[in-house]
Amino acid sequence: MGGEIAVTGIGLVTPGGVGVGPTWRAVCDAGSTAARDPALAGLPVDISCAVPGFDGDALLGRRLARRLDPVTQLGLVAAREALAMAGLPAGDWDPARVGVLVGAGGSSLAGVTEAHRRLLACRPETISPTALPRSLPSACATEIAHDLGVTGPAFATVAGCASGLLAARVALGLLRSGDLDVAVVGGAESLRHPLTVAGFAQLGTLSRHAGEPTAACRPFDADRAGLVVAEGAGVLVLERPGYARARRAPVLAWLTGCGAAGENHHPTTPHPDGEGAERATRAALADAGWRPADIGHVNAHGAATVVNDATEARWLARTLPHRPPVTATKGALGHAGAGSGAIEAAVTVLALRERLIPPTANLDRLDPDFDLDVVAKAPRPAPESPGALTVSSAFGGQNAALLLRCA
Amino acid sequence: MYELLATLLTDEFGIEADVVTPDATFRDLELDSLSLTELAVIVTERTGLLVDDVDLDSTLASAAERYATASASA
Repeated sequence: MGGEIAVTGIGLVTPGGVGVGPTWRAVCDAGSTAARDPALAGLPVDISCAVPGFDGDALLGRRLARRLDPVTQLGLVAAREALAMAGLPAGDWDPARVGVLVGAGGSSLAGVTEAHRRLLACRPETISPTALPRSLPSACATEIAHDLGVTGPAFATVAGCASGLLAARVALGLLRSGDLDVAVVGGAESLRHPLTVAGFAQLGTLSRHAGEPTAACRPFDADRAGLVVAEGAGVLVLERPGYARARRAPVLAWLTGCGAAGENHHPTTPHPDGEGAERATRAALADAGWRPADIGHVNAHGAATVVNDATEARWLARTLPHRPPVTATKGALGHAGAGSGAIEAAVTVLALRERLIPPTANLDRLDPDFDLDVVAKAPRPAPESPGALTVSSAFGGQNAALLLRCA
Repeated sequence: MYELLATLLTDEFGIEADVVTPDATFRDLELDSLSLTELAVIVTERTGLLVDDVDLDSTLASAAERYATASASA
């Protein structure tokens, strides 16, 4: 057992809206945010979940926003919301003992593809000097640190869709060891780029569901047909318990344990038994000193691909035989890569606080092969057990699991 | 050329129009080395002109003059 860490702030910028409130309402609404995306016109699949009405110039100022790729803007706005909720920065904090760890699946493509266009046109002298820094996987972490004026470690964790939860895993260690007082952790990513979508289409992982775009992303449903790309960012403020107590910070939830595990199986397909996700979850349970029955609900990876959900259903049923209710946020918000892990962690904090498990959008008929209790159609009151699990599984077989409990 | 610089500073960099004056230096406008390089790249893209001796302490008027000279010699 490693000791609990306080969650004192959360911030969300998602296809549900800009902010925690709009996102929570969107996931509880049981509808999907997927729509045809003009940015993807002409591609084999042209639907996505986009953040509605996001205006980086208005939220961050033109001077700052112009040198940031959109994904960094999303992360920065989410971080500001999370820190405001936490009541930070506090007057007497030591900026060197505040870290920023933000997961990213890879480089941001928006600015770098424009630079590449100019390179192909033999006009390298017109490439923006911001092209390289804005595309770094660490751009979001370092911009948040800069915005906040902190000087502790600021870096990206990079392991595909597990990146967001891995940031929390690493931060947990840095807080428990006493290296940091505060860690701003999260994930930010946009998969809503033509190059990304073309690549996913070639892998066959995108939903080509014949119905309306809003019906395309169907986690755990018998008619699920693949994932829907999204963009978004989630940020959590984590603090050493002693530090949070000393400054009388409001504690939203407790982060009790984390686990991570690989699989050594396949570059893009999970182990059929979900072996890595199960080990990550068991490692998190051991870290927290919990039994499986302490998990009162699960915010699943729920990517809505045929293979992911079947794998996940198998390992969840095996690992959690008490059948806690399961929800999949991607039904409403789509798949924002590294952003999703952090968004789902923040949604899990909200579910614990509100004692309400959001439904899984588009779950009309549970796959009959799945022995799972998946919340559908409407939010469900949370069970007595105060704990929750959220889990992410990535290309490359990396898995991360995080356990939270009510404050 | 001054008009181009002033327009870029207000429209692209979001600087308030009332502080963009011929006597202001780039440092006065709180540009840093990265944003000044970015401005120069945009000017090059729009005009084809390359100037390498404008720095943060140049005034907008002197920078405009420098580009105008580059134009004349091109």
